[in-house]
Amino acid sequence: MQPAHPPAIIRLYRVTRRYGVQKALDAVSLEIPANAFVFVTGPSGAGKTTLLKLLYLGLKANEGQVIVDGMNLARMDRHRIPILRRRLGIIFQDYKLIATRSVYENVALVLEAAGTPHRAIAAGVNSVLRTVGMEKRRDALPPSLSGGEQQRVAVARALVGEPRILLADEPTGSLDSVSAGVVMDLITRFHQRGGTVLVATHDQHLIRSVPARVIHLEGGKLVEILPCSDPGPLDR
Amino acid sequence: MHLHLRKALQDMRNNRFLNAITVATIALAVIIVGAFSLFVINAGDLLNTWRQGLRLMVYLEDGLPPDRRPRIEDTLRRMPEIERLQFISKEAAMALLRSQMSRHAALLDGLTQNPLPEAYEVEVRHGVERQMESLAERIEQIAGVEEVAYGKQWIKRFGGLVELLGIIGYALTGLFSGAAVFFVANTIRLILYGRREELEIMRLVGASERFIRTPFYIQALLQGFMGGLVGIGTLYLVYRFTAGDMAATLGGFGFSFRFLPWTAVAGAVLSAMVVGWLGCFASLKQFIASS
Repeated sequence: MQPAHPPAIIRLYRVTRRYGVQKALDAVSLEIPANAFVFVTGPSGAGKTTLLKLLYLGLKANEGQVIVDGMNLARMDRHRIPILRRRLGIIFQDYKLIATRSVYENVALVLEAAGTPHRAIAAGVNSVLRTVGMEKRRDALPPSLSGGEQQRVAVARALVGEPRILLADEPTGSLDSVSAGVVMDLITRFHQRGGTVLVATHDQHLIRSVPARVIHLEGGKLVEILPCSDPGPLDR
Repeated sequence: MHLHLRKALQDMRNNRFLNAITVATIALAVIIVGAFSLFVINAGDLLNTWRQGLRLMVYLEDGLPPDRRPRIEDTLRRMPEIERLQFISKEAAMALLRSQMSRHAALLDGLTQNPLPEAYEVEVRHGVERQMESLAERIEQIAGVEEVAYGKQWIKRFGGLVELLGIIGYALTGLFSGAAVFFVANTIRLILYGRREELEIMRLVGASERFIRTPFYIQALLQGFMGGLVGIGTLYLVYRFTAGDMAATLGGFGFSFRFLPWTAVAGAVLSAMVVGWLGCFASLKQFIASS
């Protein structure tokens, strides 16, 4: 018999993260099912970025448990962090592209790091660059691209490894409305193919543009979960 | 591996200046250590050549009764270290001296009697050159032998000098290897700090520490290899230009000036690579610990 809801792919149980004495996240518990589309919202300093960083082990929780795709991050050995990150696609507000490497090389890096054979890398990178509409700029260096183009490359890099979860931190924060639409369209298509998406944003317009659950943080506390028409639970 | 090699070469191209300085430093260390080795090897050869050419002169007591000489000769012939010996009579010794003095031989005409002693010229077997001192002492014990002479002080001093230079060579090897490791470590450290952000991005997209480190190790090994080759190549060029003069100077001693054997050349290049690897290891360890 099939379970009523997809199992949780991300679980947080009473997670606290402090910067000095300041609590960036305070005893946050939640479950995000596989194939959910979730916005994490709240004012600046609410803990949105911290929450995302805890999921890819950019930071470690001071207290509580973080489980991502079956991996308990609190107990994760430093050498296993790359394994976790290869299951994730991460999009940053500031793109985090390597300025001295071409568009192709930036995207290929993910597959190279995963030990993918050379031919498969070429096929995978060319395919994803076509998807994001950057195949003609494959040899360009990131500084020569517009913000929208750089973010599309960042999306391509996040998607090329066929991750199970996509984490996006203010992915449209510095883009014009057209570029933002293109980037959100790419993220939505990833979700429609079965991927789980977490987007941290304070852009209400963006939140209303996609049917998704919304986790509202304030002062490091989870204050509200707004359900939507998407299937699956989202429990505190 | 091909990917890592490509990345290493790319890094070397992007950091040409730093790379050139590192290669030059390693090359300099190889040149200095190699030059010392070259000197010590050839000085050792020269010493051996002289040792091999050594002959003992066994001078007999003046006025020795003729029947005593066969016994001395018999004792000498029974010594296993002696290859051959030749008796030199007083007359033969005088004739030899006259021929050596050539134009000044007339000075000897004023002598009323021949002052030169009878002697045996003794040639030792190959391999016992280093035991000359003890052999000479034993021969001096034979009744009727006045004195045994050979260039022992000279050989001893030169041998001591070669040994001292060998020790200095070892010390310099350690010193310059340490300096080269320090330089490579700093070069790699500068590259690492220059690429800090890039390495962080690599980690974020799932690159393992091994994936990040391997190109640096390859780069350091290549720097060591190139430094080794440049150093040995430069040393060889200097050798080629000076070997002719050295051979002309020392050829009269039956000695030929030679370059480092191929095993030493391979050892120098390998050592340079190890130096590169150690430098990389040191800087990566520090960088990883601080990141």
